[in-house]
Amino acid sequence: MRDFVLEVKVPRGTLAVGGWSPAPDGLDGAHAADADGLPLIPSSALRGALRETLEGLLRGAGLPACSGGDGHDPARGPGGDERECDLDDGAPCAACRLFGGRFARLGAGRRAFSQLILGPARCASGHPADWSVRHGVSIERRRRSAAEGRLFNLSTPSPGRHLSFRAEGRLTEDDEQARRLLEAAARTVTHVGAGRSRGLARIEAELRWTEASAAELLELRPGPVGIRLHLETPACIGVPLPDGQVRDTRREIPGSTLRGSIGFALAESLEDPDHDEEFQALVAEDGGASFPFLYPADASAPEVGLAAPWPLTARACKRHGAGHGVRDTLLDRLAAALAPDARAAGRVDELSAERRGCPRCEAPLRPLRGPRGGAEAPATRTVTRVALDRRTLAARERALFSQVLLEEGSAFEGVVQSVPEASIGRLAQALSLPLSVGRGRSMGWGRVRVEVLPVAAPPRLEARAKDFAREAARRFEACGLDTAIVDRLVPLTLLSPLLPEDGDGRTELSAQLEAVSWPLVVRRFGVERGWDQRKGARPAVRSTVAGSVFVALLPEGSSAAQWLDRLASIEDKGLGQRRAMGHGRVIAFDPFIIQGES
Amino acid sequence: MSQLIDVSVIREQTARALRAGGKTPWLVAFDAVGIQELVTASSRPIAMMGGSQAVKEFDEEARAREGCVFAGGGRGLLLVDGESRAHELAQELTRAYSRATVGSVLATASAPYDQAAAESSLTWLRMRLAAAKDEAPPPEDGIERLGSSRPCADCLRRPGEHASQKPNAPATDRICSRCKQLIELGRRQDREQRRERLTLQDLSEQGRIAVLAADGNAMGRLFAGLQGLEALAAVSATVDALFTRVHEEALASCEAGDRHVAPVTGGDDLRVFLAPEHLAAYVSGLQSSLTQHAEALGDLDGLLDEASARRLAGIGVGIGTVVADDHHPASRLLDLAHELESAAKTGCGPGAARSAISLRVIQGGDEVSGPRALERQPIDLADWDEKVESARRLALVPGAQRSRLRGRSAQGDPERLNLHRYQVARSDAWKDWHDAIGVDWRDRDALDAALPTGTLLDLAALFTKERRRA
Repeated sequence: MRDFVLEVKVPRGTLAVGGWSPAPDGLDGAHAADADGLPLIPSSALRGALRETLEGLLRGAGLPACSGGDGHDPARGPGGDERECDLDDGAPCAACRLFGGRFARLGAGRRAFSQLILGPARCASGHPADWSVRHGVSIERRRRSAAEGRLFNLSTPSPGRHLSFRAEGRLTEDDEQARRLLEAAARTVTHVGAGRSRGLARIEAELRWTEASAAELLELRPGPVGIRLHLETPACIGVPLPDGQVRDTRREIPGSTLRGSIGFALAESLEDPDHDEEFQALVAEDGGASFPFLYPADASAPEVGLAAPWPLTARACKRHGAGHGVRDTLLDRLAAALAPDARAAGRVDELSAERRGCPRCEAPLRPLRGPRGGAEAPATRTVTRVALDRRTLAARERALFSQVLLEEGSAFEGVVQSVPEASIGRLAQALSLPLSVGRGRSMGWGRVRVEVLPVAAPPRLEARAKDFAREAARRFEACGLDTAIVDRLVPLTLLSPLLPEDGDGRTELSAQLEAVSWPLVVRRFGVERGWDQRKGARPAVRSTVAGSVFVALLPEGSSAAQWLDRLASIEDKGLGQRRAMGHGRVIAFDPFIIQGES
Repeated sequence: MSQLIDVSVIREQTARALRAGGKTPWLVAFDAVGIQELVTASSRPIAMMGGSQAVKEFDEEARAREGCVFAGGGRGLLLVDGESRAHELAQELTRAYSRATVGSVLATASAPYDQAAAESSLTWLRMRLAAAKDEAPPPEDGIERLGSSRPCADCLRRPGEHASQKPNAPATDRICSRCKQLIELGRRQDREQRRERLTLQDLSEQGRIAVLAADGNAMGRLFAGLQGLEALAAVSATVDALFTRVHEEALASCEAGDRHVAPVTGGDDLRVFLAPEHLAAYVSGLQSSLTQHAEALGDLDGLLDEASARRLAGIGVGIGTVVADDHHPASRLLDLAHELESAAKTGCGPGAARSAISLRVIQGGDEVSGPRALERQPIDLADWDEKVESARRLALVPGAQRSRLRGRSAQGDPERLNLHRYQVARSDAWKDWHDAIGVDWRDRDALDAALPTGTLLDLAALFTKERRRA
């Protein structure tokens, strides 16, 4: 690895890189700005400018260079359909090695798709930027006057002050050729963004190699490891199914993404990752650590709580949301399911939270989505991206799309479980390295800061079971229902998506608990897919979504107290497939059922 | 007699259903799961209309069955004689719906009907139906085959199995069986109604399209408070008819004509795609039509008690609207509109607005979800016309000046406010706007207090002609 800083100056004029920030009504475009309103140069624009420059240099030196990673060298004849670049004697050209190309999966011996990781260039001018609106007009050549309806307004940083930017980056493998090529591109690049013919886009860049500051190694103890990731740059976490020209992001970070991020970081820093036993034991699918789904969190909380979405049974005030308290309707639903006749159902209904409405303002209740606790759903922004065809200087076919990104500043948390004792050092090492989650790592997206925090464990299982039985009995009694079965009822809540071997997961649960029936099932289905850097896209599979709740009825004559060991094992090991990637985490007797009653 | 339904027909229909219930009457209720996903699976209006038609035809089939109390919008209620017949009927309905919609799911539930305790029987049925929805199986969508075959070029959610018949589609494009069947249904409907075939791009205006989602307020409470089958059937039919009428009148008032797509989602839900220029008038028409018709409903010829009649007369709506680029998938736009609809409902209720609207104009780079995206106060629909007029005049202010009031030119920043005062003092358009809203632009404090809000600026973006003039 080799770190560097890229200083970018705007010697005259200003910049216009669109598609990143909104152009409000009245404007036709706006230069990119960060969350504080300061101008920035998005990494994709900077990389594009550097790459274009390097391709020109390579071709000028008689070396092969494809066009933006399309696998065709325009200097050697017309191109064709996009393909993986093999222009350098069967290997990717130097530009593709440095910047990446259209690789469906990671080739043998390679550790990253792009050797260059470059973040956005942030404003370094040291003063709040002023913005101005530049007006442009199209001229109708025939009449030699302004064309009707062709006035354009473009918001740009005001020229006149010496705009300068600073980007941080690194080479994932420190080889001399890559260093020289990057230096050459940086010295030679002259423009970034739009408006060259109007005196915009002019830049001068200077690259400075830096020594990587030795990261402080995080201290981890054996046992569950609570982690919180703080997004330092926007992130795009791939969704299972694409949505046309809009690429959405997940609102949580799946365990597979965290695992992949840790794997990438360690693979880059270890001498021989394929034969490093501690690393391999850490990421083994069978017997390795279980990397959790990370859900949005309150960035200032001192501990990692029960990171999960609200259960599907949670409800909040329709008018004031969670501000008026969050209620669980599981016991209402259970009572309704066990009502033996219409009159009993009527009593259950009268006492139900949904019938009574919000206790503070009597407004109706509605389902609550998002992360548990006080965390807000993460903010997102949509950016428009386009890949240019260098030959036609127009957008490539089907290469204009909108991408939804999680905003920087969002925090996500979860608990890494079952870390092999021998691998705890490797996990600490990985969490101390520069980590990125999701797509666009080479553009600096998804860079995270990691915090290791104590885990706020829920009350002991036995206590939770007793609390549940007591509350269920109280509720059943109030509804005039038989309370004899409350000790045989076991509610199980999914904390992450479950990939069941069969059906919705009840087959596996039945086998472990010998459940005789399921008086209540509240669940939805989703789809999970994922992507493996070496194998490509995984097949789509049906999941039972996080927040689903099952209530099992144990065999007659038994009680939940007798099954606590089995339940503890289910909580510890999870259910279904891809458990190493955080799928199928379960909590029995979720304390929220009781807390959400009050 | 109600203006919208013939109550005597409802009475007759309910009496017939009770006879069909025989000596051991059982209620069977059904409710389509994921109806919005079905009708907006593809962004092609023809498939949306096909999806709507599939639901309508299923409803018609249910209505034709003996013992039907009501059916509409993928929901319905029937009475049959005996428990076993109830279970059989539930299965028949589930299969028929799956066939009509190529694998979508219908939740069904049944419960014995005790005429002496009709309210409790209906409550029990409602609870069982809610539980059945929670326990409904996944759709038969062939998701497990998505890894091995190309996804449907239209919906991207199911495996592509048939050649796409879309004009200019690449030869490799395949569509799934559901999209194929729904497109065929949509085409048949187009032929029968001699409708012009439209794409969302045909509806859009300068590449932007408006999407509206509206939903009746406190409908759960209205239905939960009804006593007896007749009241339930009558209110169900009334709500269906009311929202159909309101939509038709709103369309007539905005003069969108056939330039809209309104997929069926059922009952008190409205979903409409139309050109942004028609949006303000559509909402205005919807508001006045809803108020006028709801207040004239009365007690449905004595079927409703006083409390239920009052609730029905006071029906309001929460409306969410999004104006965005037309390349966004229809389902995504509807999801956003639906989120805004929920935000609008936070402004409705006793002591607050009867109906409210939340509006967003989405630009590239905008935050489209998350707390900040939904933080704006919804507009009380009683103030809608006044806001619209204010926004229409605001649209006459040059765009470059309006844009300075957004985002990073944060409101409350003294330097920006000073600049704004300067702009107002030298601009006739700004002065005209302040005159129109009754604000003395020479009064510094009044000027600062009248700074246009984000919602008003969004609303101004709807007035294309005025913007062009500006």
